[in-house]
Amino acid sequence: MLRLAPKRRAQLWNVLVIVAVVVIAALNLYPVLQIVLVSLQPMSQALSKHIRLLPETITLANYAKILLKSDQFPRYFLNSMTIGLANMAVSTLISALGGYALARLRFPLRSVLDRVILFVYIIPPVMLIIPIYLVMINSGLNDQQIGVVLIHTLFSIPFGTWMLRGFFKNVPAELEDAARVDGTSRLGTLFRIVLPISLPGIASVALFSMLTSWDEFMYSGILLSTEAKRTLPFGVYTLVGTYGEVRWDEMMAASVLQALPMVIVFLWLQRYFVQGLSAGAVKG
Amino acid sequence: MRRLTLSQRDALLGLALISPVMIFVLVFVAWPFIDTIRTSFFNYNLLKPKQVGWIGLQNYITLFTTGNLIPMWIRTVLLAFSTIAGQLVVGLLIALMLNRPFVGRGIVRSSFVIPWALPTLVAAFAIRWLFDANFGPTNQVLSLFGLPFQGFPWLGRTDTAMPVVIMAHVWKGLGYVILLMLAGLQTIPTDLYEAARVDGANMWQEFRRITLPHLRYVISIAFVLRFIWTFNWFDFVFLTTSGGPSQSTMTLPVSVYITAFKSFNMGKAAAIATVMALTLMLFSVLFIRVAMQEETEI
Repeated sequence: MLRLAPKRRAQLWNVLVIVAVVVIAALNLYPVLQIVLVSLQPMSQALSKHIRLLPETITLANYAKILLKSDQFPRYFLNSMTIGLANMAVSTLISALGGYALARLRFPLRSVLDRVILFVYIIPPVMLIIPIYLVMINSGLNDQQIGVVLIHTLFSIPFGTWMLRGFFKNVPAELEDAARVDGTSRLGTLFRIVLPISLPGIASVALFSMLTSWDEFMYSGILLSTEAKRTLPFGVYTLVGTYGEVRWDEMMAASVLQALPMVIVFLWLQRYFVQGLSAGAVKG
Repeated sequence: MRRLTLSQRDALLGLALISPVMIFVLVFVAWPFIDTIRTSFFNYNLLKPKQVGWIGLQNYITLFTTGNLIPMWIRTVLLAFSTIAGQLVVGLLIALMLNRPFVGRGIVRSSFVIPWALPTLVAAFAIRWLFDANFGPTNQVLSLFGLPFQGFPWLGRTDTAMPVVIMAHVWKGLGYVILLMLAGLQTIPTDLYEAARVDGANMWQEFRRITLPHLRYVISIAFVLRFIWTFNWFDFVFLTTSGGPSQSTMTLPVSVYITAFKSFNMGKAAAIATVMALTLMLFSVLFIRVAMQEETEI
């Protein structure tokens, strides 16, 4: 057997670990690579039985098809943006106020409310859709974008409140005290001192809310019945894949366009998203 | 009017600031939660509005005796457990590898975030493409090695659909677990390892005696949160297999959706959903215990 000096052995071990992690990373990214490759090929080539490592011809025709053939995809894109922005505005404001109260102010029932927010994680979302659907039908809020916005805030607010509570707790209380001595009100210090310092937290909550709407399939699919009002997930799903064969070329082009904004934001804010989703279990 | 003290004013402001959150929780969580439990005791089919009425436990009795509630429950728990087990083992392994410095580490770490960052629809169709019987890369690669997998319908067979769905779930959420583990690993003081090395500990002993005990809290958090998340996750299973073939991937949330919005049997769907909530209540006890443990540590 090969004998190596301890130092050489450690080096060899290091190299092996790095090779292993790179191989696993490549496997892990393979489905993503496939999406991109299929989106860049003519359908006939992507579906041929002939195996190639890299596509022979590269084309943007699939993107042109999905963007220009009809106005459906662009409209779903805009609908998702609208609902996402509305959710973002409502959720960020409500979460900031609630998070500040939980972080800084003493009021009756505070510790109970702390727990209630965690409890929301536990309730199955499919359990909530039945009564909400029935009420929205009876009140005429079904097939209205505002109804979907309200539902999406329900997923964003617990995350946001919990996340910002953690952020605000880390703002030194002395900063606030100093401003209050100068005569600034509580709310004044929130908006002038605490919020600006917690900017990464605010950005995370805002973009997480936006992406919640961007990704959400079930509620928007059930509540928005008019084709023109659909958001991206359900719209693209019905556009390319419900009846019979999937049109893979258009599906993958739509996938790339839909995934791109989300992937960029996740790469940017990954630490904070993990923090928020772990109910403050880790400090990122 | 009597002037309020500072702390009284703070208390009022606190209640005012938290009230929008509470209104949302009451209107969109607490009320629907209670109403669904109530609906589960009714014969309530939207297509048969004249027959709506209280039937007690009949929905549950039907589900347990003639329905396939128990196989579905087992399937859902199995999916959630296998997913978490896979994510914890693979995630911890990768996190340990990524915890040592090397050139390009940031890029490799970020590459693991990407599947987690994909929209559910996109991830589901990537899996469907990958395992497509006729055109999917999986079968192409396998036949390249001379294996007889041409036209093998991975997602169309009752024996392979669930394993593929589990694998897909592990893949989709792995990035989150890796980041969580890495955050946990970074809280371990490095001098512990130095001391262990001086004492002549080997790598396994270091892992067993230092790394694992320090990660205990992060692992239990990941376990409970991922269990709840996977157990409840409707979109991914529905978009990948819609519960088929012949119900072999039919989980509880997909079943609630189909019962409520394809058969319009709201009473029965509510009963399935209530069983889901009860299951998660058991796990919530665990969750709160972990959360309280954190409180005492701080």
